[in-house]
Amino acid sequence: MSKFTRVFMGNVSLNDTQRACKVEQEDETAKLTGLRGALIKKDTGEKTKVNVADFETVDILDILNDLKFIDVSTTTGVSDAAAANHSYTHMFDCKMFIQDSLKDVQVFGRKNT
Amino acid sequence: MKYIRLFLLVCFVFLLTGCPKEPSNKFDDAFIKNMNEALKNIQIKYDCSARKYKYTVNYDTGVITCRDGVNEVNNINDDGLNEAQRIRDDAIDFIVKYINRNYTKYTQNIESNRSTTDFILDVIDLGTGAATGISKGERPNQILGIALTAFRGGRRSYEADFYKSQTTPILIHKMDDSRAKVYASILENKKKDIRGYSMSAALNQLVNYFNVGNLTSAFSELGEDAASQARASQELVETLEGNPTVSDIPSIQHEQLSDKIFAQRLSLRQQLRDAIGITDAAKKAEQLKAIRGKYEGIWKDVEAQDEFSSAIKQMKEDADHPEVKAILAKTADDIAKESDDTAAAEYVLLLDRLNAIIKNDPKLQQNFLSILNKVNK
Repeated sequence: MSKFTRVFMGNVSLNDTQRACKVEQEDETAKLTGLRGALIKKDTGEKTKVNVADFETVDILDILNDLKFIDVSTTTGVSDAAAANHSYTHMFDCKMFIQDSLKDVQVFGRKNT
Repeated sequence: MKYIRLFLLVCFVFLLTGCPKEPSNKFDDAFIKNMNEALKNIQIKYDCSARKYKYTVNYDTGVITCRDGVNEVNNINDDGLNEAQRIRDDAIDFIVKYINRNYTKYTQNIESNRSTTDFILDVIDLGTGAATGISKGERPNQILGIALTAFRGGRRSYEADFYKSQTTPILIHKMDDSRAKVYASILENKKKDIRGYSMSAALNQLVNYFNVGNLTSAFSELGEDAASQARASQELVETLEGNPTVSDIPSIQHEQLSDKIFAQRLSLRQQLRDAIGITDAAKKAEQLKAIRGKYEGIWKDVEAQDEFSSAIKQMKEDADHPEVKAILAKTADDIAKESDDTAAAEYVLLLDRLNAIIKNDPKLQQNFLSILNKVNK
């Protein structure tokens, strides 16, 4: 089981990052294990906000391919996350960029054939 | 006189802004009249005592008269300042009790029968319009300004679409929290005499006590809290070393294609697991043979298509995946000698790797899906 990372732009929506991670899981037969906001500093000194996703290759049967990212920096998000606990498996909590703003996000997943 | 007008204004603002569904926005409400009368008397007593004059109370008529006339004798109250402080504190308790009662009804209305956004708009429109209509003179305008500031702040937050993301219990908790802070300050100030905490200062705080107990204020404070936390958090993120490659966000079409391929691969893998789990030896062997046949059929079709030759070549040379390289190095005879479950497991690895290599080529993905669909109907 090997580990690898993918870097996605931090200026996109939560759904876009969720889709990117989901497709990466399916294409690479890997499980998303972590996600965090980070900065890439260019030679000019300019900083780009990105999200770094950690993956680990696993048996396809162990992949929760139906991912659900919930922004829990809002009270609606907290409610949604509480509801998601009933139908999804909580994978981890993280701080990631959503349209260039660092937010608290809970990541859920479930098997969806 | 100015304090009486001020009290009247405060009371109108309380009633008009605090609860738009209540009947308290009727100006002829008996309760309002009675309360205003009580506040007027309090003001006469306070003003009289603060100037160290005695006052008289006619309990039959309820009229209070300050004995500050030129012909009055024995009319000096040496304890006037303390008396004024006591009157001030009584006034605070009186108004706080009213605000609390109003607040309880207000929160009940929020929880029961109105949408949050509709409620806010009612608060803004009723509060500003009615208060403007009854304000006259220098002092009332000053108080009115305090109230308007809070309402305008709320309207800006509304335009920012912040309200929709809030829920009622959180908002009420925020209002409770804000009210508790203001009330704590009021209690602290009550320890001071009237020179350190005048009646007008107390009124300003009571207006604030009322204002923080509405949704507008709660939204505004929640928004500021969230922005503050976001600023603090962004200072803590790491800066990546080197120049990492940033992957594109896949398209919806890519996602749909990946979903279909994944579902087929998952189905095959599940069939293999199910077959391995069968306890009946003969049936198990039969199922394993069947699933091995499917995998072999898929791989043969892949090898037969020239479009995949580049991907297979890459797999054979991939030093990062030696297990895949080793499988592809085997001869047909070697594979034929393998048990069905071992051979099937090796094909699983081959297909996993192939899938990863072709992930950015929609045409190859489509071809792969066609093969999977054909074999695993």
